[in-house]
Amino acid sequence: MRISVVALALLAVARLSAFSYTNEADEKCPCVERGPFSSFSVEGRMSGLFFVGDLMNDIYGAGVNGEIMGSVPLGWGFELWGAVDYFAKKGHTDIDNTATRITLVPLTIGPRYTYQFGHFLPYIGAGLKYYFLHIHNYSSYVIKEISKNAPGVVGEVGCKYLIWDHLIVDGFFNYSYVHFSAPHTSLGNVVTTHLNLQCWNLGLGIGYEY
Amino acid sequence: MNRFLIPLVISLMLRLSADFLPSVDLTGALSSSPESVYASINGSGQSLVVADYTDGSDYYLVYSLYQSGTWTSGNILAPSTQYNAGISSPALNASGNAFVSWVQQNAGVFQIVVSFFNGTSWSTPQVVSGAQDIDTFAPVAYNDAGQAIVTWAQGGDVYASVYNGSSWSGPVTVTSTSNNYSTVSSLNNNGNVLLIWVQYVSPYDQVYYATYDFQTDIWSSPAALTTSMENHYNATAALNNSNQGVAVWQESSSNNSVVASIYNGSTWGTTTLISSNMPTTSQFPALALNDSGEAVVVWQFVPSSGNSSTQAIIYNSGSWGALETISDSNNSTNATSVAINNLGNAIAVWNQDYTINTHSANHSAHASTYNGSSWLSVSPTDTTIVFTPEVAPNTVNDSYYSSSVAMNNSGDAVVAWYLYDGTNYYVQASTNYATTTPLPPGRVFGGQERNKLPFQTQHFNQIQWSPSPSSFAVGYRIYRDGVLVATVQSPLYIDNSIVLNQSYVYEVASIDASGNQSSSVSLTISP
Repeated sequence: MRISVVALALLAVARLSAFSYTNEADEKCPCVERGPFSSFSVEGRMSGLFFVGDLMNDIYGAGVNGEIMGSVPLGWGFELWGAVDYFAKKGHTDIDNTATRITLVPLTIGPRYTYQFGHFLPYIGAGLKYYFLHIHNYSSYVIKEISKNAPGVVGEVGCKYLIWDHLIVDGFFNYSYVHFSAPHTSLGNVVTTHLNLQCWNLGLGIGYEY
Repeated sequence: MNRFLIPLVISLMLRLSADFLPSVDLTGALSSSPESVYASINGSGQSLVVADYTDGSDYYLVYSLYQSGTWTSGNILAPSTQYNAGISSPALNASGNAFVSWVQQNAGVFQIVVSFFNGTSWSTPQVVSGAQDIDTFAPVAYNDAGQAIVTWAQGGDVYASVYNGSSWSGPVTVTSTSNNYSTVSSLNNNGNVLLIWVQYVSPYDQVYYATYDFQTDIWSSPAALTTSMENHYNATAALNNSNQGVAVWQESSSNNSVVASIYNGSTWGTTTLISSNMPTTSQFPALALNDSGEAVVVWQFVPSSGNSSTQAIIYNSGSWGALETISDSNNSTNATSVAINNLGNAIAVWNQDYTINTHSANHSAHASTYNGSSWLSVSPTDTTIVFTPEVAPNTVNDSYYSSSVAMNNSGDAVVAWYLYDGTNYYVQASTNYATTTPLPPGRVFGGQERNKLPFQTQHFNQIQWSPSPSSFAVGYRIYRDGVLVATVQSPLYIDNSIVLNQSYVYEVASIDASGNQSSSVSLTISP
């Protein structure tokens, strides 16, 4: 994890210093000055997070996910993107109406490929995620606090639109998966299991591209 | 067991409570005085009170059933402009079924009508006396075997109609000697009937009797119980399940006295004067007999001067006990009713004049209980039970009349009367057993449930039940494997403290506000 963040930072610095010229595509569009494939960018993104699977859906339902994302160009249309997300939602179980709250903070890094059609920059990418998960259950009859972290994966497609100069808007969809191992308990009435957490996000972002 | 321990053990067995609950209005305000109010009770604690009254245009026969701590009320017969009155004491048996009888005027002819109560509703009234005018009739008697009998006098003859559990026979002539009236019948659970009546044998009224056996369908020949040169009337009799009987009546020469005779199932003993004799008056005897052959007789005693009082005497082990005055002598008493159960507990009720400041000549309802050895004390402090509500002086104008009492073998008693508040009439009742345990909840059901959360599945046992039918049940106790684990108000319990793969036995019992607990209903939950 720590290595991924450091690599992302180094790539960003390298990209800022290396790309000082204008590519051919940019010359066809005088309104925006672009690097050969893309530029370093930062974005704030909001998305709807939808769990896959009855249990998570029944308890928590959909929620809003917040994200800070950045990307640096790698050349030939590829870029490296990284993100940190935050999702928190309270829910209730169907049977006993037990209240429970989930907090998810995943870190993401991965490559993606971007193509340009005028002002539109569609992209497709994949990445590794590292999840920090915390569940608080408001019941004395179950495991009350569960904290887990585990690696996962994500795939994403989206399209940026160059609004004005460096300003972009971004529409995206991604799907992620992570496996958490079962916690331990000494409670006699509780059976623990692992959790395969799958969710997809559909959202919009706004960002600045250097 | 030595002779000192026996009374102690007996007294511990006794359950008759002198603590009666506040009275309950059974009918609401009535515009006219009820003609009769009667109470009955069975061994399950079901009580039935009936009354009749008219509002000037319609006749009403009303009832209230008390079971599981709740009184339910209604009409036995749809209000009718046709004369319907003189309702009998309800005969309530162990099954919760009952008969009542009354007099109905049909096209100018007075007939006896009966209605059957199946525990929920009353049957269409049925005429059992035939098309002739009746003179007097006895309340219907009904036993735990489902047999019933009504007797009456008609044209001076004595008739009976019997119910074999499914239908009523036509009128059967018991005697056609004329000049007979005032029949009283008693029916035991073996189908034996003891019938007494009064026959005018010039120049005196004499007491006669006959017996009937449901098994053989044979009436005995009528025979005289009294022959003395005096008038005899207000005769009553009781027959127990051992086929022992007692008859009491008034005997009058210049004044009235109360006389009794014991029946051993085939012959009568000698008549015994059980009240004071002249110059005082003892009248209107009421009688009760239990299956042990213990009898209690109460009556109104009128001294040569001063107030009347209620007197009582117990018959036990072959002899009559001491005569006792069980009411205070500060005010006059009248209208007695008495009951005794198989434990030897007795209760007597009467109405008594009272005066509160400017209000005088009203009547209150009183009772005294007999615990097997003594009545509630009236001296030096009167500890008898008074049903008169506590009201501010100078505002009370209430009078209580027609008190009737019934008691079962558990000591559960019900007293009914009607109250006149100066404007309206109210049929009321009080019981001494509202603190009896509530009925248990209905069906208990449930099972092991799973509460699924991320990473874990919580297992718990959930049980639910139909609420107790007792309106005074305030909650439920839940026992798990015999150990009290919770007391709840709603009919749901969730047991989170279980261990997987283990079976548990749950028991649910209803409780009342005093913590009295019903029997429990159980459920086993296995994984």
